Amino acid sequence: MTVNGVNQRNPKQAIARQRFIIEGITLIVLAIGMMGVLPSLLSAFQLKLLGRFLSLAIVALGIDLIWGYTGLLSLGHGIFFALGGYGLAMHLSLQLPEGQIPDFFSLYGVQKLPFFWYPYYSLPITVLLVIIVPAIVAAILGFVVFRNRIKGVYFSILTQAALLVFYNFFTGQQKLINGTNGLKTDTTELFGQVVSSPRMQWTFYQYTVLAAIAIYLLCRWLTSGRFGRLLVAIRDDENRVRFSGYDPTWFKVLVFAVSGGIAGVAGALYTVQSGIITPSAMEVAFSIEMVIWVAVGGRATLVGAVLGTLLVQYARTTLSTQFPEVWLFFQGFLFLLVVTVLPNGIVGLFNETLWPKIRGRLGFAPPALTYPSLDNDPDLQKEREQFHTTPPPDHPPQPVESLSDSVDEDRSRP
Amino acid sequence: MVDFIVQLLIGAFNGISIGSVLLISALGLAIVFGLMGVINLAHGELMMLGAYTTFFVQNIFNALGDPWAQVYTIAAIPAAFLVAALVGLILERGVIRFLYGRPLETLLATWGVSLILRQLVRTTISARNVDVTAPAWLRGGLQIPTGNIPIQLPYARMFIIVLTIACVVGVYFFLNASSWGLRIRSVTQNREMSACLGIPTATVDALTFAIGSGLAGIAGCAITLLGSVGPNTGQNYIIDTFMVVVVGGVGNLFGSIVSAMVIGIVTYLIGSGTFAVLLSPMDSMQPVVAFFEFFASSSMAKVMVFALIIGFLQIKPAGIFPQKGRTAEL
Amino acid sequence: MPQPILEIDHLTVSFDGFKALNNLTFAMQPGELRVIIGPNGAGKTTFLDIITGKVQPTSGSVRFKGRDLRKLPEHTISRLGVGRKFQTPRVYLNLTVRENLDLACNRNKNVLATLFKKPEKRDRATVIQLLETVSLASKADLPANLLSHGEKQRLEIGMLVAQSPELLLVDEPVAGLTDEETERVGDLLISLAQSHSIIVIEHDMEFVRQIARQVTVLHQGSVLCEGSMDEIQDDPRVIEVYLGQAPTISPSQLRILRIAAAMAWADGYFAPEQLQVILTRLSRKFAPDPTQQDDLRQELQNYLSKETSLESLIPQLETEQEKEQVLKLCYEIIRANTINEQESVVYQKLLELLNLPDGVVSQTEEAINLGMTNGTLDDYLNVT
Repeated sequence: MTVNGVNQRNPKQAIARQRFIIEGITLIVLAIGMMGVLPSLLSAFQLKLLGRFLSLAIVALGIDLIWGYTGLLSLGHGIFFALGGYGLAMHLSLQLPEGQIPDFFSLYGVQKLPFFWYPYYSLPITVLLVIIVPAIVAAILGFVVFRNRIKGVYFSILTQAALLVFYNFFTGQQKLINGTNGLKTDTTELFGQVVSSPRMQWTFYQYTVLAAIAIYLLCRWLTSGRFGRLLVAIRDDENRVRFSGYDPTWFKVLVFAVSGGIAGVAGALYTVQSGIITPSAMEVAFSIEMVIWVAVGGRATLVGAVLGTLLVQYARTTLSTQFPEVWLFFQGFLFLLVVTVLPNGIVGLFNETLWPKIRGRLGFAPPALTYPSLDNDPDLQKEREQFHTTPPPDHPPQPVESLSDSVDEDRSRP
Repeated sequence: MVDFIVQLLIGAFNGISIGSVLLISALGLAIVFGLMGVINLAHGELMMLGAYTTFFVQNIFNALGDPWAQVYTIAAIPAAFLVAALVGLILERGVIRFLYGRPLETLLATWGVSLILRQLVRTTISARNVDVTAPAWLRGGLQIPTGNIPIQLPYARMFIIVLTIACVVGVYFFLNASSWGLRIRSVTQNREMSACLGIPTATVDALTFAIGSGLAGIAGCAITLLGSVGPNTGQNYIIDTFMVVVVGGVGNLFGSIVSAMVIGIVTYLIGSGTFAVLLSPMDSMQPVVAFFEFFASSSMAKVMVFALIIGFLQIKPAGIFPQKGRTAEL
Repeated sequence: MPQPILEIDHLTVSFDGFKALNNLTFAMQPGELRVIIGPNGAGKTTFLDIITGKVQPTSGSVRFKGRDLRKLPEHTISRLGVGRKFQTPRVYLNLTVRENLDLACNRNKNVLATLFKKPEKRDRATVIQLLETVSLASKADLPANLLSHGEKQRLEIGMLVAQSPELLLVDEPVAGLTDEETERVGDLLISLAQSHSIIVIEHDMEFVRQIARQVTVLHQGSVLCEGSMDEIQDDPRVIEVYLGQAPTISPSQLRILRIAAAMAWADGYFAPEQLQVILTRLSRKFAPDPTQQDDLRQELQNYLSKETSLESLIPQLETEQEKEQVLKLCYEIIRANTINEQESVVYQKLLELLNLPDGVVSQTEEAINLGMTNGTLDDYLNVT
């Protein structure tokens, strides 16, 4: 490669590397801030609240993966969230002296622990199951749906129906999982500490921040390479993907399973920070609400998913403590607003209108009129210069060769 | 043997009765979702509005005294239709028409509307359920004398079946025999062409949506006969009705009828434990009996029916009566 | 004979009783560039749907390199080496041009390989080379939704090539393109034909002529006829399905008329009125009553408006007699007004191509020069 060639390639790569470094530094600063600084600034209650918001932000990352990038609107993420939550709650409920089973069983006359509870005696297995169980359920559900090329709204409706089924199952099975009452984690103990104690809550908060960062990085990795581009391709034109030789079914199953696993982690973290898990985590409204977090932040941007969740949750807490009846109105209008005037969410709004203005105020060059990468592309600049000096090389005058050609050309003569 | 036949008859009646509730709720959706392709998650709330309208009509007629109080149901049907149709019209003109061709966005927007409507009822009327009392002639049921088990066919259930049949026939004739029905069908098949031929597509959209919503209102009126009415009433029906339309084959009214009846009967047979009872005499079937007993409750029946629906969609992904040809899949 | 790359045997596809393809049999050798034409509803797109697995045949078989494609899903067929370009350009609008090509040229299309394997160096090289081939290098990093229609068409063809298929199926690649873009796409397809087998479905006859070697005509779901472009366009059955009626004049008469028309164009100025006059006279010649005359005139206008070069027409003349008729007719036409330079060039070319003995030529010319006062166009056509 010539020196010139190196110069041409470099700017794009340099910009990409620069962005990567900025993102990394921001992430590290945020992590230090949230793990080291915030816990000493906020009260225990506020910290717990933030921890809960962050767990919900983790679900939002999962939703963004499946909806924002792949274009599949899941209205059933409550299932995976609850499965994760129940997993950890079952482990905590089993922290009992040898031979005892959780109290609620005696209410329904159950003497023996149901078989599926046994693996949850062990913490490592529980942690694994918190991720694996929702992921497998998502994979099975995804497989039977995607295999038949059910997509779009049909997928949404089926996930919603599945949600209803799980809700019915959990509320109906008192003898297995304590029905509507759910499982309380507040009063249970872990490592000899009461779960609701400030010390434990502080730990859970730290784990939530770590999990959020880890899952952010996971999603970042999934969406940035070829795999991520293929997800976007599936969203844009699934049939084209198929005719290009990819089988979209498995990509969708995988991403749905990952998304489900992420929701499971979030559910577990949320449960220990709110003290209880009940089938209400699988109510239809909650699962659709998850979608609005992503939509408000801006779909297909990971930052948007997190930001949207934190903002909506903050608004919810503020509104529902002061005017409880206003919250649902607010949420309803939020749905309408996001769909009609704010399709790209806050991040989209920022990128499209606010950021250029701020740049302008700070004295930077105004944004390019055409597509920015086109204006700044050195290859194109060079091409333009050439264009002004020499005639375009694309179409040299064609020598008249055949009879028919000359006839053709002469036809234009008056 | 007689027992067996009687069991079957009861099963069929109750199944059809559940099916007709499903069908009458799904009928409006079959039009709005099936013909227009609009996902209206506020459909349940339109039913809820119809139910509340029935409640108010009942209160007014009760205040008028006895001869009136007995016929309020008859007056409530058109009233429920009009109220729901009007709200549907506002919804279509105000929100949905901006979102044609973007089904996922429509879904989210109508969910927003659904939240607003529910909260509106909670704040303006009451968050608690209200009771609609059926008029005297709809209470009780038809006694059928049979051997050792007397059967009673509740009048309310029978009324819903009749109302459903009337609605289906009405919709069928409206779509197939009226000039507006023709326009609706033409717009659903080819919007651009219809517009070129001078059909006011915007008006047709609004009308179609209003009629679909109005039918939801009638369904709301019907469900007041089954239980009390609250802000969340609609939520109990919305997913079931979508399932009916999806299983029947989107865009096919007849498919919705068949699927509503099948889902209704299967739900009843599983939920009531009829399968378990029928199979219990056979010793070899004990594990199967235990299996059906596990699902013998209305909420567990839903679990089973959903599994069956998913299984069914594995064989026929586009429903009982799929749309065919090159246009069916984009 | 090598194994055909594509063999279709007694294939029928019916949608609810309507037979989109009806007992169709078709074969294609490796390395062929085949154009498929046919009126609307002939089953052209269904034909591609069948090969790519989008639609399953009701009966009959499709074999690619000897392998039965029945029941195989689309992506498997694609991996076997069949690439398809859709009628309307279908590219991933939210990905850049480069990313579009990169996805297509990925060699291992499994989920896990796509997730874990880094793009190979040669893949990147392939993409850069393809960007040049489809002349989109300057827009490599633009999202595809900012491309023009023609650019999208080229990008999609590029994506197709990136899959390195053995058989390319191209559905109406020039629909909605400007003439210049059409030519570019044509050149691209011709250069691709050197290393691929290609099936092109097209409506644009000008374009078909540019690229076609072998043409198959589909009609009502079956193959109507196959052959070179010239054979096809003179086939009465093809004319019938395209124009709705069988030609009333014989193919040899039509050929002579075509050559005469090409001659008439030779001076580059052929007034529409002149054409109308000739057509009217010809139609009077062949049809008895006025309505038939009118129809025939319309028909002739359709045939004669097709541009064809003398080189391809003259070799089709079968007898010496026909050649002489052509000579007479053409000399008469250019003789009608003063012969200019272009006309004489074309005329020389005609003589060269006809390759008649010098004596015959000079005699004929003489006769016409002498008989100019009483000889009319009608007389010459009369002979046929």
